[in-house]
Amino acid sequence: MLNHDIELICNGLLCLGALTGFVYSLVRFFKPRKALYLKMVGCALGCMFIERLYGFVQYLVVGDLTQSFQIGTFGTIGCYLFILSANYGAIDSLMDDGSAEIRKYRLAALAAPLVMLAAAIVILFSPSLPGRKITCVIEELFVGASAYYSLKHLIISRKYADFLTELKLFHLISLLLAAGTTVENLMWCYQVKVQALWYIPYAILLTAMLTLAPFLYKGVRKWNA
Amino acid sequence: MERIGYIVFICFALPFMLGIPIVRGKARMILLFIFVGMCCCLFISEINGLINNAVGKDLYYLTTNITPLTEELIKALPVLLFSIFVSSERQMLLTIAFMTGLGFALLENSTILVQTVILQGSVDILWALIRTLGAGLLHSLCTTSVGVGISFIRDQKKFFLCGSFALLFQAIVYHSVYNSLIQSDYKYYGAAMPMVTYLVIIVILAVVFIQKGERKAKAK
Repeated sequence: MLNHDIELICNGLLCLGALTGFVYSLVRFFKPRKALYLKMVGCALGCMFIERLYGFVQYLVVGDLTQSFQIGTFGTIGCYLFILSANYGAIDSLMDDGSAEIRKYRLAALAAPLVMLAAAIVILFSPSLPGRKITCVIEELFVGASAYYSLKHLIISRKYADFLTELKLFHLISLLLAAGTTVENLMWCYQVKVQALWYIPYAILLTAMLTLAPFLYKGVRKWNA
Repeated sequence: MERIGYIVFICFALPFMLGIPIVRGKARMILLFIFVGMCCCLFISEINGLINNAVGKDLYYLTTNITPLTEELIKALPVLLFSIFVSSERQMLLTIAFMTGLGFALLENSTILVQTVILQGSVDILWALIRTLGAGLLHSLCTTSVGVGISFIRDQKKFFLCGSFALLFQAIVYHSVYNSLIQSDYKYYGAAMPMVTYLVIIVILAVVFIQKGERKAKAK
């Protein structure tokens, strides 16, 4: 892992990134007559902000994130639950009527949760403490479920869901967020010693946090137009 | 000394309970949910004691990883049940959620005040301010956030389950951040955290209120 100061700065930056995304979504999405879908994505960024704030505070106060169970996990799970319920609750029923035609997209979208499942299995065999491993595996389950809908909505043909075309970039960033969390979990559990590698998940997460809400807003505006 | 929680509960919560059959309408709901919040506090203090004995970790670990989880769960339960069985009207849920948190904070603060006075002999105004504007406000804010969130998602089955848990998790982590800060050298930042959140919410509500007024004036 990175040394304490850099870890503190990285968590601080991620915290600021998530806060920026959250404030943006507060301003843009939390208005009367705005779709609940947008508010859920805003809440997901809020969850991410609180989770990163927790990480930042732990580095500041304790000097390290505890190696076993840590409650910040709930922030990550909450974030993906919000994205999952937004995608499943608001959009999926509009495009998937359960017909056989869409089956191929349903099956292809399973690739995302399968990758997360594979990551979870790899985590289980890591040299990390059991508490840490279990927490990461539970996180991966929610990340996988959320990634399934993101991938499904990303790959589905325009023929079935014309409106989704404008939101593809948003779903791509959602997937990026999921990938960032997975890579971070893997690196945590394997305690990767190469410091430069640690910047990869942090850079992915920061980019996703900063761009998620603006691209969703842009997509929805195009869709409405 | 061991049963101080029960003594404080009898002194502070029973008067609320006695008032419930007397008053009517919204006031009854307010009294009822302050009382419910106090009951939650008493109940969870016992549960936390049991977990404390079972887990055997240090106080810092317990207060940052276990008590936020148990406390937020127990406070959200009456709000969730109210939204399922009684009403999911936003203003009503906001009121009862805030009152549950308030009742919880009231009993917790009273118990800690009595315990601190017994152990240390006295407390000062700064202590009282930190307890009230910090922990007191925190409990109300966390429960209110869950209540308001539920009011948005209650009528949409597909959102309800995931959304409720996600809201709860948000409150749990926020509570844990506060508990971590308040026990550290940065305790004043911790104490300010709920107050800052509260002020931000007040500013947002004020902006929304002004915008509504402007829209109404334009419509006329």
